[in-house]
Amino acid sequence: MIRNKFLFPLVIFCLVQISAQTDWVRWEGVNNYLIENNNDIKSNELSSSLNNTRISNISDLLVKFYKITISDFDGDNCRFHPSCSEFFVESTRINSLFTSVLLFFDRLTRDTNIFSSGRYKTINNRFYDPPSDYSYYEKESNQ
Amino acid sequence: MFKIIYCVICSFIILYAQNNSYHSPENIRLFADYLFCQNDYLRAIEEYKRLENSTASDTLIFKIGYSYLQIKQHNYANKYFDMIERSSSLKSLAVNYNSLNFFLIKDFSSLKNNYRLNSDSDLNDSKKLLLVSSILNENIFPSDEQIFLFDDSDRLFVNDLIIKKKYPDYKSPTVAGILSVIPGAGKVYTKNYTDGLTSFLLTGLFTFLAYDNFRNSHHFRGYIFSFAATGFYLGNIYGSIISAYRYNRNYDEKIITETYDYLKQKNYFIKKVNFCE
Repeated sequence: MIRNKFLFPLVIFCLVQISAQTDWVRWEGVNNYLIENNNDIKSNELSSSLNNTRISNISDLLVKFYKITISDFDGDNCRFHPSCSEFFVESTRINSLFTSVLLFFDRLTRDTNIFSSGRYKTINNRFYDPPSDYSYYEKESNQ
Repeated sequence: MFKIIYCVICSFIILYAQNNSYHSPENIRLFADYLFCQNDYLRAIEEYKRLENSTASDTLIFKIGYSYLQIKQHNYANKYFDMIERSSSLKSLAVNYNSLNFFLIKDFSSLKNNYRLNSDSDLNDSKKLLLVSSILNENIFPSDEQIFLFDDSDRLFVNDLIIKKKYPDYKSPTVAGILSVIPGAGKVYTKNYTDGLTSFLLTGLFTFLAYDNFRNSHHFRGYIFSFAATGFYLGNIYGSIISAYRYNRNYDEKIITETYDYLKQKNYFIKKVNFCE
């Protein structure tokens, strides 16, 4: 009985998702316009696309799941670039998974802090806050 | 008859006009100097280069080097400043501007070499730049005697810079990490007051929610809120450490920016040349 109660809405939900996402391209979240004309940002983002592929694949999957099930309904609301979920994915490419989780929670704290807007560079009304800015600790301890 | 006179006059005018060589070296130089004085350095270089083979002089080579420096083509500027001969009266000025060239591209070993190799010239200006770059980059501080090379106002600035570098207002990442055992205190220590407050509130809120749910036997929700509370708490500790590193880096960057701004205002201690009066 309980199973039937949850199964029907779940099937409907999945069908809606699948039919809506037939091309498997997200409705929103194309960020190229933000980085096209900004070499600083481009180089930062390129430098972050490093190794650690296994971890980043797992986090990519998690974030993809989050984007399809929550973010697309909730909308493109994050006031930062990269958004918090992208921050986490990019962070796993630079740091270990544990560090990335810590940095992600730290980012959520900054996101919640409505008084911190003055200290960020603004691009298209979003605050530029890449994970590479928060990776000194690991870099310095590796040297 | 009138037509013949008219034709002769026209022919004379045309002949006279054609005799006046607009592309003579003297005219090219005058035009190049005009462009130079209008700060149109790129075109001035083109014109000066047309004279390079025929009427090259130290002044002309210096002007080309100076123009390259102004348009930030530092390698070319270096090449032209080096071309000026030792016997020239512009040599010491060229060496000083070459020092500035190296200072601007932050090639401090070449700056030192440039000073060492040309020690026979009058290089007080270069020496001042060298002293400032040593303070900035190597934390090597000048002696009292060397500080007296600077003017009174510059001396105040240099002393201030020395104090900032000797006793930097750094924040210790270890202290920040230890303080953040109390959520947010580490961030307050690194002067991120609002981040500290947010961190305290978020950790407190999720801890309360976890406690409240466990107390009312909502274990699943209790675990979720516990995970969030732990994440925010550990994130706050790690974030505080990173925040201290960021604070220190910003402090260093601020000193460098202030120094470069001051030096720019003072033409990097180098005498201004005025070829346009």
